[in-house]
Amino acid sequence: MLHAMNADQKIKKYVKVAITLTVITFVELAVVKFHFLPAVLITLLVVGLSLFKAYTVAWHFMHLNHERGWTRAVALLPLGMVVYAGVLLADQKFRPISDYVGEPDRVAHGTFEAEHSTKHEENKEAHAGATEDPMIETAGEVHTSEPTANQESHDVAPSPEKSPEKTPEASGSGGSGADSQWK
Amino acid sequence: MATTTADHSHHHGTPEAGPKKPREVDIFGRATHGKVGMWIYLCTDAMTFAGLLLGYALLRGRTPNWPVPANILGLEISGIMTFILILSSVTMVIAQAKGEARDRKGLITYLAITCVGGLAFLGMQVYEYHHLLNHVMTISTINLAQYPTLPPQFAQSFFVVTSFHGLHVLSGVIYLLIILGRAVAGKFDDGNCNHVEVAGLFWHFVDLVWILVFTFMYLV
Repeated sequence: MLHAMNADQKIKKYVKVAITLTVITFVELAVVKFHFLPAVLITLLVVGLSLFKAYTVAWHFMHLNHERGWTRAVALLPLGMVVYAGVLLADQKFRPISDYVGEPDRVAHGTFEAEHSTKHEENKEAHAGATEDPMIETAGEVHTSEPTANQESHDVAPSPEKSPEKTPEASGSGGSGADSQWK
Repeated sequence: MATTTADHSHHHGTPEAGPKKPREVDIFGRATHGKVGMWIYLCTDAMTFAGLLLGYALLRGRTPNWPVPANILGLEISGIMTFILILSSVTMVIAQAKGEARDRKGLITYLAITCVGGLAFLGMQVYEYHHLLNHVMTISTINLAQYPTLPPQFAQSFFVVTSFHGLHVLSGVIYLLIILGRAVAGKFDDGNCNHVEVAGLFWHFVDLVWILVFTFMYLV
């Protein structure tokens, strides 16, 4: 494509585009690093600049500026995801917190850690031998054993069979025991 | 469309079927079948990435104690990685321009630089992962001694999204190496660089996605 320009002219244009992209990236890094703007403005600015960068790459490097008809339309289809994202994010932002199953439970345990650290020993004794939720037991173990072992090689410290149990637990629906490990 | 197909299938043997010859215009403009196919693939891949990033945003919005990513991940390495990908995108389009000008040496040189850029990106990602895995977090554990409030979802989403992108970079490098081999064999000497351009589309897409991943997972 770009039949009107010879190779050197094209390359000059590409280099200009690349310099633009690089400068924008430096601006973004500077804004984030030295945050001399309110946080909301930083987010808006950085996201806006990045979307502009993405558009620039598609327009100039992927030659969308030279495509016609449905090729351009196909390339723009993923923008539909922006609408989808808007709906889901708005739902999450504006739906009352109590509508979420399990949410009050997690909020109630927001201070669990402080509570946990004082009652830890007696809890452990109380739980020993009883038919308790295994989550709480393991959380107790990890809590005591990890901090020191963790420093050196934390990826071996918690035994691997615990992790899969933790993942669904931590993602929301309640068990305060697991939360204490991660918080 | 018939003309387009013919151009596409026998262009290697026939120098006169170069890109200067105007193609028949159809609903996809003058784009070749290969290019349209790549765009459709990239469209679906973009939705996959969009889904991952949207999942990340929703997870982040509901997870207490989410950190400022830059404080955990640092911006130095990822900033350089961004720079490298942008540069490799430029060398990719330059390679195409050289190829269309029937400059085999230029095509090979810039394709090779592009591949090196991709490999450099992967090398830096391995370095970054090595650091994170040893000092900060794995996909299922957190170094609680140093990051007592870091939610595991941060580690999980970070590794899932960035490794998925890294796999795209790896695929792109392999793809470009194949194109490089064909360039060395003189397959693009007639100036028809459609295959180079299609591979370039994939490569620029990987760059484009990284720009967004970098923004949402490192910067904000």
